[in-house]
Amino acid sequence: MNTTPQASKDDVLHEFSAESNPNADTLAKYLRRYPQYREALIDLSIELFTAPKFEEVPAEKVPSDKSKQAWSKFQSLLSPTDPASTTPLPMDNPLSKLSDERFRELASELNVNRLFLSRLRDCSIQAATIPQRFLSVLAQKLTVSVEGLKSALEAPPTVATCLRHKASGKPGTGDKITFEEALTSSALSEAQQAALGEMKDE
Amino acid sequence: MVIPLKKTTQEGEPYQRRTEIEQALSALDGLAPDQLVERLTCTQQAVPFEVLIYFLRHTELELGSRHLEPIFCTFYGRLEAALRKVVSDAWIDHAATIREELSEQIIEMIAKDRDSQEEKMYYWEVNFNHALSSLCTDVLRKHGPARETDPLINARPLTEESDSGEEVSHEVDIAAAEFINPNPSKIDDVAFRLRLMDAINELPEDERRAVGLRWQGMPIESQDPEVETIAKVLECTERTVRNRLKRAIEKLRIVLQAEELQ
Repeated sequence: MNTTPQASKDDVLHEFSAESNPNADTLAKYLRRYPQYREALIDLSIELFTAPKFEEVPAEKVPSDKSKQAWSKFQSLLSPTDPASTTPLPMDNPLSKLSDERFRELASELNVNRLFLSRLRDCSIQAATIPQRFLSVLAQKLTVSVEGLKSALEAPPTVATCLRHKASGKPGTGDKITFEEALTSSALSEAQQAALGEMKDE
Repeated sequence: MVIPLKKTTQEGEPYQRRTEIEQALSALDGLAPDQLVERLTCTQQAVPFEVLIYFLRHTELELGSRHLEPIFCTFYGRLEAALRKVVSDAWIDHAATIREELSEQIIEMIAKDRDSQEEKMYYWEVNFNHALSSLCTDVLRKHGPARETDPLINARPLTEESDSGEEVSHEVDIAAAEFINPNPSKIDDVAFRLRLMDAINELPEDERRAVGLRWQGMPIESQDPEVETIAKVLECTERTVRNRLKRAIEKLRIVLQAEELQ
């Protein structure tokens, strides 16, 4: 019981409702300390005592179709700025904001070369093909959320991926290469390719 | 760091959650999102509802849809199960529609709360059982709580108001003991408890308070002047308390008997 005897009714009732064991003894203590809120405390104590205990309700192991529908409804109600929204506001590409020095460091921390990292930065790689583990590591190093990073990398490529499309005419926004293709066509060493290959999703 | 409740006391101190909730949140604080989801969706050691509400309410936790969805689905599954107990088909007409309305209302409340600086849902993190049962009571009142054949609606007090009438002392003590210590499996049954709670809430104020205090274990009388008794806190005589208890228990017994017949 931390509130003062002059505490407001709301504060006292809140504190009583947050008691771990609001039984007759707890009530008696509160009634002695706050006689001015006698009736409200008695009524609250009865409500709390008689309220059913829902914690014992067993959880279902597999999410039902109904809960998935409810999730879609819930998600549709969220504001676009919400991190769990269906349509998160596109994040500014965190790779394009790095200084040259940090860009070089990051490439070395990720054990990739600058060409490979530039392709990621320029959104030349299909985001859906990037292994989750690689995205997580990159997001962590950039201190951004994985979802945010992924949505930023889903933007149209800023530079034509001409390596692959040399002879096939003018590249458009759909001309992204897969992660796998980027591994083999970015002049990465075999060891680097193998390390990145191990990150592939199951 | 566990996000404190934004609602504060008049001295500016944040409101506290129940100690066990604060402890559960501290234990989960700092877990990587994947580990967090694993822990929150674990069916063997289910976390309290208040903990799920905490992770669903606060956008500051930056949980994206990949992590929030399984937490939400776990919450929703448990909520549905809880509502099936509260709004039981056995007692209420259109129970499925009312359950649907309740779950939709709760989901909308959480979604709005995520986008709001107000603290409308803080109490759901403090005492989920109380918050949910209060919401259910409100919604059920709006719909009309029960069937026309509900024994409570047709109940008539067997003893008329009389604070100085017959000798009720011994009889009430026995009835109260029977009532307060019924078959434990029955009182643990959520549907029965809710029915009883409804019945207690429908009693006149003086009877409701007498039986509610007795049920919590407060003595009717005591030789020790330091002990709080029902007579003392309700500012009436012991005889009045016994009369109120007797009337209340007679009405409540109808519910107990009706439940026995189910």
